[in-house]
Amino acid sequence: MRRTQAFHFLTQSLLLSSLAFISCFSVALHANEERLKQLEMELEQLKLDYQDQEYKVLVQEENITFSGFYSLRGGKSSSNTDYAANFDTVSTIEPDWNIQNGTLFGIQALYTLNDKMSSQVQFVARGSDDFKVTLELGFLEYELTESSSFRVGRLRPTIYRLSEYLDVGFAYPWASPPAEMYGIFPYSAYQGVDYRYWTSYGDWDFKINPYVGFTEGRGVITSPKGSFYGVDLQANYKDFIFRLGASNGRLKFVNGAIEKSINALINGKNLVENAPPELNVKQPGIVDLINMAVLALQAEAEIATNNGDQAKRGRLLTEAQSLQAQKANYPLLSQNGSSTDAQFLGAGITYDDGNWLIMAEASLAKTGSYISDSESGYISFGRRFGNIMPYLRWSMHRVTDASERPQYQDVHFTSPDNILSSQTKIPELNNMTVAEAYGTAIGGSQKITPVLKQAMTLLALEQKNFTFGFRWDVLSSLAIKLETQRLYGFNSSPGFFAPSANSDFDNTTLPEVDDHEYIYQFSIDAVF
Amino acid sequence: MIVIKFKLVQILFPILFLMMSNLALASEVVLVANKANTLDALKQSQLVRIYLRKTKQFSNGSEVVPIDLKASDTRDYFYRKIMRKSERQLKYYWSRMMFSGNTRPPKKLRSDRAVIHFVSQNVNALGYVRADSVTDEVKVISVLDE
Repeated sequence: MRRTQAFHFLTQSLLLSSLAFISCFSVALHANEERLKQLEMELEQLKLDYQDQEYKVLVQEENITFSGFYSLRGGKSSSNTDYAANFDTVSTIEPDWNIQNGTLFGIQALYTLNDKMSSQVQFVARGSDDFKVTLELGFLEYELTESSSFRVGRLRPTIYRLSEYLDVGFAYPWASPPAEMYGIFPYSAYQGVDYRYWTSYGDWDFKINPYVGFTEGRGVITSPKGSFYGVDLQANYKDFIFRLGASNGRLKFVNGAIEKSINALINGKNLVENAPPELNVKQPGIVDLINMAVLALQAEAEIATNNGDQAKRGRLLTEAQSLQAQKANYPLLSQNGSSTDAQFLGAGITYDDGNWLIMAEASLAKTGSYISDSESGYISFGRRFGNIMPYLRWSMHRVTDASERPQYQDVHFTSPDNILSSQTKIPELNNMTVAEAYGTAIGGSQKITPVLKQAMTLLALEQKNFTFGFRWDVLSSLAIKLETQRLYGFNSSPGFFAPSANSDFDNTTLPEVDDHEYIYQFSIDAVF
Repeated sequence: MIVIKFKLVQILFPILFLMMSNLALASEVVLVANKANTLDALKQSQLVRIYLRKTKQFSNGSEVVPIDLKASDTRDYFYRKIMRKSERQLKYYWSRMMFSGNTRPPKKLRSDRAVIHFVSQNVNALGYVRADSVTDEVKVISVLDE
């Protein structure tokens, strides 16, 4: 019995103590669990905070990116005259190898301000401009939606297919873009605003890009300044890209060197500008020479009247009338600084399936001014064999308004009644003799009219071009190109072997070109 | 004979290993979209148009924001095997788009986690990650070969 009681007591105390222990333990355990849960929550929060921070850092890191491109380009022409590969950037190709004129470097920064806004700036240094750094792109973009945006600032014109990336040699297949189409466009960038809208229907992707802006060109022969607007339409379908562009501008051709020269050849010019009239010496133009001849005829007619020789008087005054009428054959080009309408139309197609690269474009350029209306075009075939792509390209530039442009003719002098031996003095011409005055008019006009005709030819250049070359993609971001261009079809113009001097065209003689000339070029083009 | 076999194994093993590791990666890179996205699949050609920014919308007309990864094996695999574009083709294409101020390449994030986080937060987003990075925050979209 005692044993039983003792056993009972023992089991009870054991049970109680274990219960107490268990309850104590479970309380402690519960407290730990609570703590653990709290810690877990804290950890989770920390993790989320960290992720948020990390995410912000990850996204922020991409806020600014730098990239760039360069082209080391060398060229040589077969002619003994410089070749104007691009009238805007003046990347002249000379008779001897020159690796500065075609070389350029570009760097750009892209900054994302927020989800909606970003900006891009691009600086380009051209060898042809002694590597002076110029701002080529500098705009702010505002994205209305994923598929529409506005850009404002300095933009590149979307006139033709390559206009937007003409400086980036790596981005086109050839050593240089066809000068017949791209060399003559008068400006490479403009200040303005554009809107872009992208949309898709089935397998077709479209981009609509209206723009408006103003520009200050830096052309050699002409330098247009003015406003323009236009629209660029692009469609992508599988391996094809189609594009259509139309632009209309009101351009002012300031510093038109040819225009100034032609007007001076016609109307004469003061040798010292802004000098008082009584001190100035005037270089006579064709109109001055005609006036001089007319004065000579009138002086001689007066003598004939005094002598009662009505028949001779009649003949002399008829000649004077004829010369006066011939002044109409020398219309002035538009006054320097006047504005003109200009239209550009372009259409293009590109096919690129990874092996074949076929590109073709055609364009029309029209101005209301002395600058010739023209049509340009090219077609290019390339076939990739691994990293090497041989290509063939044919391009042309043709004047379309030849008949509507001033045709400066020789002045027609009949030298009536032995006027060239008359010693009659002309008081209005400091007592110069009639023979001297009439003779000077004939001699002077014979010198001026050929120069006038040449200057007009410079505004109506034509040429065709057959190009053959290779593009070798040495690295995924570096390509080497070699090409030969055969130029022909100059149509009695000097082609693009035009004088690139921008001062006096009065004394310029046109370069002589053969039936065909050659251009040799190489380039190393890279992006980074 | 045994020696020859051994050599053959020595030569074959690394090749097999490489092939297998490539195959392993193949099954591991997947397209991910926001859970609210109603699409389950994309045509390969549509995917190319989206990542080259030629189109700004999914085939159902809703806007798309493609997300890229920074240089990584996953990225290489995505462009080579799924987009089927070489580095050279991409450089040639983007040099035309970027330096003209035309279109920017897709936003690049550093890690799969950042992509998943971005996609989960943006209804229009589309990204690609390794399959083992996928979480229930996003949905996987399959690529259809035409």
